[in-house]
Amino acid sequence: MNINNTRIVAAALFATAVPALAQMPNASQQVDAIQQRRQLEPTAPWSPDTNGVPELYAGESSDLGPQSVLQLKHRRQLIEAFADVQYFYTDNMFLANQGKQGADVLVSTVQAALAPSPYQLSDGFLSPRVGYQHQWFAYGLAGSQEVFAQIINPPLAKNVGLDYFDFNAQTFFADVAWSRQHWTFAVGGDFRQLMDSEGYREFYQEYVPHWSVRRDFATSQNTALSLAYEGDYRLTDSQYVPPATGGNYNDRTDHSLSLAGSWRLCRHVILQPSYRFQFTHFTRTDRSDFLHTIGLTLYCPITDNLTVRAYVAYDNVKTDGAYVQSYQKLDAGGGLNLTVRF
Amino acid sequence: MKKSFLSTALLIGLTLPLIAAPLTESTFTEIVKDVKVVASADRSAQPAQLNNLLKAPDRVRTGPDSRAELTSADKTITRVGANTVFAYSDSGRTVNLEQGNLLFHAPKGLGGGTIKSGGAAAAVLGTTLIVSATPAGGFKVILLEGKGKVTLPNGQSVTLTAGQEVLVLPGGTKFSSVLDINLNKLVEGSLLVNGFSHELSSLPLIAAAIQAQDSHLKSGKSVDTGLPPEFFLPPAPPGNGLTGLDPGTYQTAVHPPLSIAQFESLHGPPVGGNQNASLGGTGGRGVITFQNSK
Repeated sequence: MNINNTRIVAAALFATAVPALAQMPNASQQVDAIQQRRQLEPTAPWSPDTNGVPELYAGESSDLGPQSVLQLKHRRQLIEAFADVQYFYTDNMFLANQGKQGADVLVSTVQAALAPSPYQLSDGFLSPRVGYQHQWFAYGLAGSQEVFAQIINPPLAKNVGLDYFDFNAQTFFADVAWSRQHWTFAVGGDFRQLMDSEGYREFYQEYVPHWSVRRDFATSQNTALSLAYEGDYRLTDSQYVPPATGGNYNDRTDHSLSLAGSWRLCRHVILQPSYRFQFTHFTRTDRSDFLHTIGLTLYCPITDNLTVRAYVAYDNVKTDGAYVQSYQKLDAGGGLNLTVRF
Repeated sequence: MKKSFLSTALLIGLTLPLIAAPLTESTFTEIVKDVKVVASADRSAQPAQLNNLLKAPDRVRTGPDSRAELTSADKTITRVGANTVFAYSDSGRTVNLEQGNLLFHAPKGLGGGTIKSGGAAAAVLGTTLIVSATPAGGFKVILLEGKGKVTLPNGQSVTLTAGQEVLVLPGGTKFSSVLDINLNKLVEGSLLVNGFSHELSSLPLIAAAIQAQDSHLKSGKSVDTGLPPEFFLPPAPPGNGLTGLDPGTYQTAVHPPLSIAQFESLHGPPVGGNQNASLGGTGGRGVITFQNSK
């Protein structure tokens, strides 16, 4: 297969593959990749590096002429709204080394962003975005399991249901991605707060400047690979930290390398294996974590806006931190996503 | 009786254009650089000569940066580009394109023609089209004017109009979406259209198609995107969301379990002995489970 072909197919597949690097540091980065590709109506599964249509072989265009794709003009889209629900089982809710606690987890997400159609810039396309996301994490919906827990304030030890650990996260995000051919560079910043689910009381916040670069490769007409690097620095403020430490106890920097494959089994079924290595260094405590994640996801795009998915992922984490543990975790479940743009 | 005669005459009039002369031979009317005729009998290759006749099933083979034009007695034009191999069929009006690029124009009323490559075929009537093919089965058809039907071996077919293109990737078994392409840009940069010493006879028809497309562009009904591939792709599904938060952040929401010793180093004895009520472990929300607490 000609290299141009492979690149184009890669792009086609990695429009779907990149989000499968699913275990990304935050959901907004995933959505970034999605957003870029939602800007225009999906009129064609292929188009060229610069012309819009791939060459079947090198030098073809000189005889045929350049082929530039025309498209019905659409009003520039400005808003992207996103609702997602996923229900899965994790065998290690507390990220423990021993005595793992299994739990069913429901994660509900809504997001709205000002995400205008991309602007052409220096032979590439610039996609800015600013928005808000809210996520609710709910545990133990299917059972009535209890665990023994120490409550710090007021001091109290008692058995609590898993739903006692429910929490939610709100994120304000702004980012910009620039794509050219099969490269995508992105920078952005998030402000995130974690709150309990009873009174929406904040117990943690972080400012997260982040950056990433991704390269897509095709391996055949229906398979492709994507390699990505992502980095961030998290300026944190935690409410409950060890004595003689500050609220910035959890300041850290993350650096991850992701490799994702994509296999389009048919129009409505895409299989995506992925692997991610992440190195995290906590700058205030000299703690280092090493995360390996292997995942397999089956996507079924039902319509342009609606997608269902099933997934399984295995995490292996080694840490030298004082009050955390190395652990292994297996998650499996499914999800439903609805995205609209207008 | 008179009515019956008129009906018969009308039927014949409609049918006549369909009784087309076969396209089994054409004359070289222009040759650029390396163009050879490969005899089917002994596979010997001889340089093509201007005004010589190419007869089926002999093949034409062009080298790099080379091209040729062949014109049949009925003014059907076949232009071939660089690194192309093709031959006319022994009967009918079929051109077999093994690889390379080919422009085909059949004047209206002559029965059009069919360009075959691998199992795929583009059938046209009185139109001008460009076909590009690879030995591995890649196939691309662009309509410069008129209308044409492209069919795959599996029976799948699409109909194209002027300025439209469809392709099958090498090894592929199905069409891409039908693409509208900028005809003006294509024609201006096409050696198959402009790389010969004389004008293509269907150029006025192509110009009319360009004009129609330009009016759409000027009116703002369509736009030349020039966009890279990913922007034309189906929407991406969302991530699997297995970790809606990264592990470090998650640990500040759902605290990892501590051993009794760890807990005491932070807070003193569990339960009532808490001396640092505002402090936790790695962050957390003030709720800590114990290792092996079950």
